[in-house]
Amino acid sequence: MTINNLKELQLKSKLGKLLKIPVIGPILKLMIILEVIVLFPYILNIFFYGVIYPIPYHRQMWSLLLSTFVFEQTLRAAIPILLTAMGGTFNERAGVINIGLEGIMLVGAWVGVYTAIITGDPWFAALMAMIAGGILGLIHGILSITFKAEQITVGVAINLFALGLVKVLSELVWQAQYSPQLDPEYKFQRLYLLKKPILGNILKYFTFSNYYTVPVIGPFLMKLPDIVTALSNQHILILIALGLIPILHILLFKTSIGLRIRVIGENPQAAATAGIAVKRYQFFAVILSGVLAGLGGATLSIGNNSSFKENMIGGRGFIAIAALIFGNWTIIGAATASLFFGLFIALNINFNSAVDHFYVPKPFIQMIPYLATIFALSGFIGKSRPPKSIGKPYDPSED
Amino acid sequence: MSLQIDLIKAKSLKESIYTAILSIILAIITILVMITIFNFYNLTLNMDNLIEYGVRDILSNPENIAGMLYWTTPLIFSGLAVAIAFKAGLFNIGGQGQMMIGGLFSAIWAAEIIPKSGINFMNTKIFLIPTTILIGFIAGGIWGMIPGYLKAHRGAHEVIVTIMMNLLAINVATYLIGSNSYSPFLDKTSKDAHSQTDKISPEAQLQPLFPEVSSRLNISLFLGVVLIILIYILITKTNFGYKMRAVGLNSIAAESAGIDTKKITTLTMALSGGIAGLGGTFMVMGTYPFRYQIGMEGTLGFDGIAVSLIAQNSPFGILIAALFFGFLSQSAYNIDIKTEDVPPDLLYILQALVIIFAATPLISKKIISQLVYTKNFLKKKWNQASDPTEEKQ
Repeated sequence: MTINNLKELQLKSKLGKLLKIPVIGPILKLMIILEVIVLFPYILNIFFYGVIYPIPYHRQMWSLLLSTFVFEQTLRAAIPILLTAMGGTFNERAGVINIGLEGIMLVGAWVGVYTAIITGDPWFAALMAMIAGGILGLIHGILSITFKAEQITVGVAINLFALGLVKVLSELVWQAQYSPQLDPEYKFQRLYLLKKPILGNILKYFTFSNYYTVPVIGPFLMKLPDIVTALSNQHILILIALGLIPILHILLFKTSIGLRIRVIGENPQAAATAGIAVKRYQFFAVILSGVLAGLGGATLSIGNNSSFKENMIGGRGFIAIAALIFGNWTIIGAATASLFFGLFIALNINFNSAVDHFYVPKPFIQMIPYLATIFALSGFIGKSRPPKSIGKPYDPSED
Repeated sequence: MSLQIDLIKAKSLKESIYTAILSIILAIITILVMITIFNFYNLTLNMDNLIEYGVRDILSNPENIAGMLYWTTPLIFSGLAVAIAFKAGLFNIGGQGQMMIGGLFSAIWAAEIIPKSGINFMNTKIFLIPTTILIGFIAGGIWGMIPGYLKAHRGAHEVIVTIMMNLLAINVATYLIGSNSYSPFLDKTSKDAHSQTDKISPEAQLQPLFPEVSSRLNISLFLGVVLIILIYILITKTNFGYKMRAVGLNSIAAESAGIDTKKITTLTMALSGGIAGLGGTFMVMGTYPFRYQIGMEGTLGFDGIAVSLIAQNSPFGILIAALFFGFLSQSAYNIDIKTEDVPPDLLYILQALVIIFAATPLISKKIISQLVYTKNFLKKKWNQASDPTEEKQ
């Protein structure tokens, strides 16, 4: 071992010690990750424009990263991915791989808009989207659990099926490949909780903007994203989705149902020996995943947007799969990864206008989630290990 | 996370033909049920037009038969790409991205680099056609090799990596030809340039075989057939093909028998990607606008999975299966042009259903065993009825 290596080790251990300190550690970790996110486009920009002054670049990038509106856009872009990724985590933890999440989202989006137009009730529309997603999940389950089909192939087929179905139904119902614009009454509108009479007054005390005039911490808070304001400006589905993160985490990691699902994913034979009804739990996981993906699609069509287009999912179902892999098959991990992917989507919208001399073409920023997933899977970033029996149908006759 | 051995294992010819035909029949029954449900909700389709333009017109009109063969060509390539990966136990669902990259780079080669290089001897048929094909093969091959390499050396699951490669391919294409502000190879000659390369040099265009019947049918179909024969020889008669099958059936056994499984995995994925890339290349070289346009391959890359499943991965079966799916594609195309009462995407649903039933051999197995049982039962009854002496015994 050379001296250089030793020095590196020392540095690493010092950094490691710093990262273990309770409050400062996670913040430091987040700052390092964000700094990487800031540096990467800078290096790319060298190829497309040339070297620019790093200090103004850093100032503009960090103020963009920590601005309230980017935080708001991040949430909106991330939530459809987040819902689908959390469902997909359940699915894969139960040993069933579902490539068809993209198609399920698409059908969810269609059903959401269709029901909203017919009934005018967004809540009912979201419910129907969830049911439609659940039905597609059930179909995936019947094929891959009961009939032991090749799961990946069935997933691809579900994607193609959903695309065809949605196109045919749009053509038959609206005589076009897109839906008419929804009446604002019929979709989930933004809440603007701060403007509500009583709740707004209470929430105001939790916003950062309320304390901007306070001498010492005011200027500091001004630099941070105003989380409560950003949350209160979203539509209700986003808040529900954020609330689902801890619920699903507890369901998967703290309850006996979750434990059984995880055991099934690792070793279904052992689970069956222990008296667990393997297929019943697998069906539960697959249907839950379909329901969440359907809701994710509806979030996109009757929450973030107000119409349906056939290409509106645009690979978000696949990004959700990427997110759950990146999150190492945990709910919190999948949610964090989805939020990061959402951050990239939000940054991509604002990069060129907010940062001077920034000419990196948008596709390069869009590639980052996919590249990151490939690196994560190849073991270059962290370690990601799939559940052991994923993709294999459970066959009681095997040992 | 491994492929089911069911799909790789060789079946008897009779069994695979039964399975293929049954899954097609089941898919047709399902879609008829769906149409009935649509009718129930007053979303009426014109069935007469569906039969007229979707089936009868295709089989009677020579132009449509040529169109069907035209669609068959890329399906042969994407089907072969999936099948050859299956043989080595790999699942290449990146055919879509590999086709895209193959088509894109060969179009850039034949439309931008060579004609604008100003070297005249390079801009001739004898140089340009082979090199364009080669570029498509290499570009697709690299796109397929990356997942293969990562699978072999880093243990990354090839399905997820190929999905990511598909999405990356879309972004690469968007960068190269998608935007007015930064794309280096966007078509600059026409005013309404929209996500496409320039027209490829006339020297690289494949001429139609029967110009009076159809402008879309060219030599690439026969190249596809030749490739099928070559792949058949490669799989069954060569050392490499033997090793590939050994890895596909049991990679641990192959490893201990001294086969370099990592090399075989990487090379198979590269070959598979290259073949898919050729599909994209021939679409660019042989189809009317003679340029690469984003989205021109539709879902042909994914349809290759259907082709390969129906053909049970046998190279010659792929020709028949590709003809069937070519028929469906032309049918959709024809419906789209000629009638407004039927949404053409109905046939894409049919394709997806065929994949579902072909990927679920258990359904058709159950039906076959039920049919055999019924047949034997009826036979027994018939014998009893016709031969009264048997009953007494």
